[in-house]
Amino acid sequence: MRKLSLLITAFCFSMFAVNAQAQEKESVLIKNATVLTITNGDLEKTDILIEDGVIKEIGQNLSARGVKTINAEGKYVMPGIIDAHSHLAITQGVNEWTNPVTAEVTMEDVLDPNDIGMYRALAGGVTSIHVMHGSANVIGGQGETIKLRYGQDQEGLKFNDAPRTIKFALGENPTRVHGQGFDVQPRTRMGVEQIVRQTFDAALDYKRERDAYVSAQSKWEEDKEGKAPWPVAKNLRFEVINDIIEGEVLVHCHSYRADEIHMLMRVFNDYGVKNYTFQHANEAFKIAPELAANGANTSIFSDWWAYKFEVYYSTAFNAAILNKYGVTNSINSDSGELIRHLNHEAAKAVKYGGVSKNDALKMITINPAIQLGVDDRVGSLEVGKQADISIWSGHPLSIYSICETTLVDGVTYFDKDSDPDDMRLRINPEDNYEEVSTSGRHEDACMSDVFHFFGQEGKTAALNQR
Amino acid sequence: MRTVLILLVMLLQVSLLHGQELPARAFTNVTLHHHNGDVTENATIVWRNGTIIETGKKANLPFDAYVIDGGDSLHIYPGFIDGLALWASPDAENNRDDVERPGEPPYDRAGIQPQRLARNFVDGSSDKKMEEGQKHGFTTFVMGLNGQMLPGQLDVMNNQTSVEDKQVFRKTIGLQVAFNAARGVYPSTLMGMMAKLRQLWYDADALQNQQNLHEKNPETYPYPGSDEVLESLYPYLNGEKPLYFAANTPEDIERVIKLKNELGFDLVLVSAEMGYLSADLLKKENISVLASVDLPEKPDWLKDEKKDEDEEDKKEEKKEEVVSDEVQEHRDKQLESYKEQLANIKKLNKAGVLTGIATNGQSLKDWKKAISTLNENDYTDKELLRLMTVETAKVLEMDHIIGKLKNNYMANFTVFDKPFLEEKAKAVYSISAGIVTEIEE
Amino acid sequence: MLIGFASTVQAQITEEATFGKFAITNAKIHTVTDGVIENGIVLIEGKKISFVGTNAKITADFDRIDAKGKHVYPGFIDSGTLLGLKEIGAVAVTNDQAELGNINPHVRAFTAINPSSVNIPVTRVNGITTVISHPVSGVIAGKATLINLYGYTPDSMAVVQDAALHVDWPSKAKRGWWDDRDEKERMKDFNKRIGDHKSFWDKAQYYHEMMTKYEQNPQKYIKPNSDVRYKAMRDVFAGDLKVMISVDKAEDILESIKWSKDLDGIDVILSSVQEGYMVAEEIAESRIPCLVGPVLRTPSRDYVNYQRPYQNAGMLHDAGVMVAIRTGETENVRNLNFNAGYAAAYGLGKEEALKAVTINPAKIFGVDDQIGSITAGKIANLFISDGDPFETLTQIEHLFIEGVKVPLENRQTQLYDEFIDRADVK
Repeated sequence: MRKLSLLITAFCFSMFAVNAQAQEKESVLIKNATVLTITNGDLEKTDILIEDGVIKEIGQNLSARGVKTINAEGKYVMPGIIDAHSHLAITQGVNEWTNPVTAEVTMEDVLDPNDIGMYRALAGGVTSIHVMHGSANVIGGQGETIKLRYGQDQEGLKFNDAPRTIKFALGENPTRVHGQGFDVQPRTRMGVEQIVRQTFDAALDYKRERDAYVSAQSKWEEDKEGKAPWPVAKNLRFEVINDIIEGEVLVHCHSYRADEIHMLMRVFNDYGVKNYTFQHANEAFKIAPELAANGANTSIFSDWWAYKFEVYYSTAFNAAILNKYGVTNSINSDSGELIRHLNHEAAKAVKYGGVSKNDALKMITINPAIQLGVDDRVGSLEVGKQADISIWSGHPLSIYSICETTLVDGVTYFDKDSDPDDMRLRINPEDNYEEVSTSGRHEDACMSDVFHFFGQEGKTAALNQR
Repeated sequence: MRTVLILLVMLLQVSLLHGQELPARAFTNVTLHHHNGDVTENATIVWRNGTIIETGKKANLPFDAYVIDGGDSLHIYPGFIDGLALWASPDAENNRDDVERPGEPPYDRAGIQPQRLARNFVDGSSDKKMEEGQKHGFTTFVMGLNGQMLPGQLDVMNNQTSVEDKQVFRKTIGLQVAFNAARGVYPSTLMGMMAKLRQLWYDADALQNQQNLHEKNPETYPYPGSDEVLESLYPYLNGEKPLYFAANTPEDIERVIKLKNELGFDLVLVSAEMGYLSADLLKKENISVLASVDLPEKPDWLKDEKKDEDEEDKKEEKKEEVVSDEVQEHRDKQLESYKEQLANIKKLNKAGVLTGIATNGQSLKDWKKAISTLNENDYTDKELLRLMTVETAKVLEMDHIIGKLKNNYMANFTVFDKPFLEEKAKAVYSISAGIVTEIEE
Repeated sequence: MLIGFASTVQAQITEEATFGKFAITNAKIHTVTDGVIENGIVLIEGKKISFVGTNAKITADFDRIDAKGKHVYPGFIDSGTLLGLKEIGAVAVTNDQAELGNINPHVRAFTAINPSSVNIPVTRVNGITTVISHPVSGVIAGKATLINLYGYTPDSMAVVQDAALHVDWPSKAKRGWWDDRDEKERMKDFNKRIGDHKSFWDKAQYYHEMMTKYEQNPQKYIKPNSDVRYKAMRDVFAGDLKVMISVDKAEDILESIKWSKDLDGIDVILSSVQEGYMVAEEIAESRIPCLVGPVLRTPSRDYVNYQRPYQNAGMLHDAGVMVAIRTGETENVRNLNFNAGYAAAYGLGKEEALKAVTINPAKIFGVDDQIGSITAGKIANLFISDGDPFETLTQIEHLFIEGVKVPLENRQTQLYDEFIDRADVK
């Protein structure tokens, strides 16, 4: 009996592995659903034809030969949810917290393709996430936008050609880690501003010298005239800072207080940095008009607050106020737990302040796509966009709706009815059946490896999340 | 000990007289276990000047040979080669001191010490550690240092505990690298280490260019100063010598290869506990491996089962553990994963990846246990012997001179009182570059 | 007659709370214990519900609320929170939920409840009128309190001042991914904690017996020396105070049930119960009720189905366990409705989920004669909504706590009012 079950298990396991690795893009026909396009209204009894991972046609009574069909009658189909703030899929070490500026490190180097959190997110209809550095540093590391192609290796997860991003952080986190933690500036919000300015200035100085060297060097190698230029070492950190200033890297800045958000907008205006997004931004509602005027985006929690003093004056109506003033706002999770029900979190924008249903859905689809610079490819159901799709038993803003199928590039990565219970990709032979981690539901991952800076309180707070 | 003293005296006398030729030595009536599995009983092995000159049943004994009769009870194996050993290294410094600016720590506090040469750390306390190595059959080892990301550069050492100068067989064959972060200073994370390695490369490259320019034209160019850490990286910048980079998971192995392709260094992969999952990639990139045998712990329930199996007479009393379907499924997967990891080296070989071994921090006692475990799990005696001798020699590109009991090869071998894989086998003599050490109990 | 409360006392509320006589008419009344009444009438007089039904004479002195198309529900009860004890997680001085030490049966959450906690008005506007607030830390953490979310003093807020003794059952499991103790260390910690707990319990029981003997016959016996901890345990041994055990891992649940079997005359409740579904039958057999939650949490083991935390309450109910739902929250107790909604959607069903946040916790804490349903004679804890309160999109329109019509206002709504139309922006 045991041998048989072993065989069956091995078979199922290998079957799953084969399917996941098999194809990166697929062709599928989804039939007869209520399609929530996000950008072109809701369509009843509509079909979506996907060819090689791209939406080819949206209409009624479509047909296609030899293509796998999903009967979605009575179901709701929407774009795959995009989480603009996540720390899933990171090989241990969310924060290189040892320096207030660490632009040279990147999440691209440390993706963990075996994180079961990705599967659980797929089960909540999420297809893309923005994997970020933590919020311990004023200028943290670069992020990586990935698609939840659960089962692929690190390369296979990457959202190809997504713009580069980087994490900044203001307020209590960096001042506590650096200023309070080991007497290195910044200790105050005043100091935080200057860290940004002095880093930018130093980077611009470096650029002048380095560019001069590079062009002189290539000229000298060609002509061999005169003397060789004095070498200026490539500095990875400053290279990235310059890329930010030149608009090649999108800034996502962890921030809470209205005044610090304002500060960074001032600084960015001085250096010509655009297209940035304030993450969390609990007090963004206080300066919604200014955010809109500066073209700044926000990516917020639906209702987390009060865990620090800088979020004590928050309101769940944040999304509604931002939306009213025309700020491109998204709702994120920053949590392996919350990401599983972002559809429900988006519904809170309707509850608190009466955002329209479609605007609420935008906050978990097209808006985060805009903030990540991939809105030309995902975030809505339109012909020509990539087939990142979630299929629900009811309208996604209803608490009773259950996500049933999630596709990335047309490939089914989550199927509620046919996926086995155990979806682990890599089995650690030393993990016994009894291995349990009764983790709290907060999992505020932004500061996950720097608890000790919050003293016993931080740990206790986490431990007592019962 | 006495043997050694006699030899020293003879050395002195002989060297005074001839300056070159030392007396030959031989073991007779021994069983020779060759690297390829061949076994020669009632054999003789003769060596002179650290080189094997005769092996076989009908070996000729030179007139001046000092002979030890094996009495038909001794077994000789080619000396095992440890592809990267830390067991001869002093302990790592307790590197936790506070630093004024954790983001700008001194090199050594950050574990960046590529300028250290392993051979310089052999001191009085090393003898005992090296004896342990001799007991386990290692006559040659690539010495690494305990440390963090860049502990130092590797030297191939002859495992001799008595003689000073002869210990270094080959100097500085490579750079020891591991994703082992220092605590509390930059870089403290995996991503930090990757960025730092890149930056070190850029900095070393620039400094090298600056130094070259200044040297050639000291009037035209300023003195760039010196930096022993960056300077020690020069041979690695353009792939003159390889990095011996430790990584275990397929993801970490991919990261190492990514850095290799970016920075252009040459690579020997160390440890590779899950290397089999990256076998195709390793083959494609033509990377050889010094595999760890730090096997995963056997699951408790498997240990219990084995115990039950062994106690045949208690069969009636064997408690039939009632296990639910979920638990059984979990155990099946656990067992499969356990077996796969045990088969790591086999699979690497099958994929055509050149694989040797390295203890890389594993204790010698655990290493021995692991070898036995592998022996119990489909690794034949021959496979294991090959692994520990000629295959490792191949990875180190020294298989023309060490790893075999063959004429003109270095006299590196261990004399055991039983076949090596038997549980109670003990090393009696260790011969490294011809120098004999009698192993004491 | 209406009595207005001065708005200056609760500084963050600007609207007035009102008290007196209210008539809710034309409502769909979800009584919980007596079915659903269409076009119903609920009369509130003073603190209590005076009438529930379809036919009533409503005199002119009643404030009328036409609830046509709306729903009336009993105020929801969250069976596990830190509300009123904890304010801002990162600011230690604002948090009073965790006293030092392992054995603290004597500390009372009731004492430290801050009626002015900003979290309280934020919570109640979603229809949650009553919560258990419990101390944490150590093994015997203190006495939990059951409070209504309106009042100026803990005394006026308390439904039951000391509702249960909170025991945090020691576990061998890792506390989280950051917990890098190895198995030996964990066993050591575990053995110490369970040892301390059991030995204290025995001594406290002994003390109780000795004190009882002394009290019955002060002439004959010597009075034992006072010990505030042992004294605090007397209610438990007298059967007057329930014991609420927080426990998550399947193995630990079974251990705690085993231990509870020897507690004669003491009511035991399990709390959190993350892996309850794995041992549902054993829990059902023990007849111990469970305060399940948070429902919105990640699975406890990497290899279990992703739905298990949502399904937990339903699976326990199906096995025959009496289930209440808790959030374990402080500042987001307002999400109790949604924890219940997920439990309902994943197997518990709407009806049972409703009970799990109303009559079930009331019964479990022995106050079902006062709260937990829309029943004449019970305390007027209820709300009027425009739909299913488990649905995220539902709005709560009116709220009553102990008969007081509480304004649906809090600092978050006030911030909305101020900033939706910022005064300086034209």
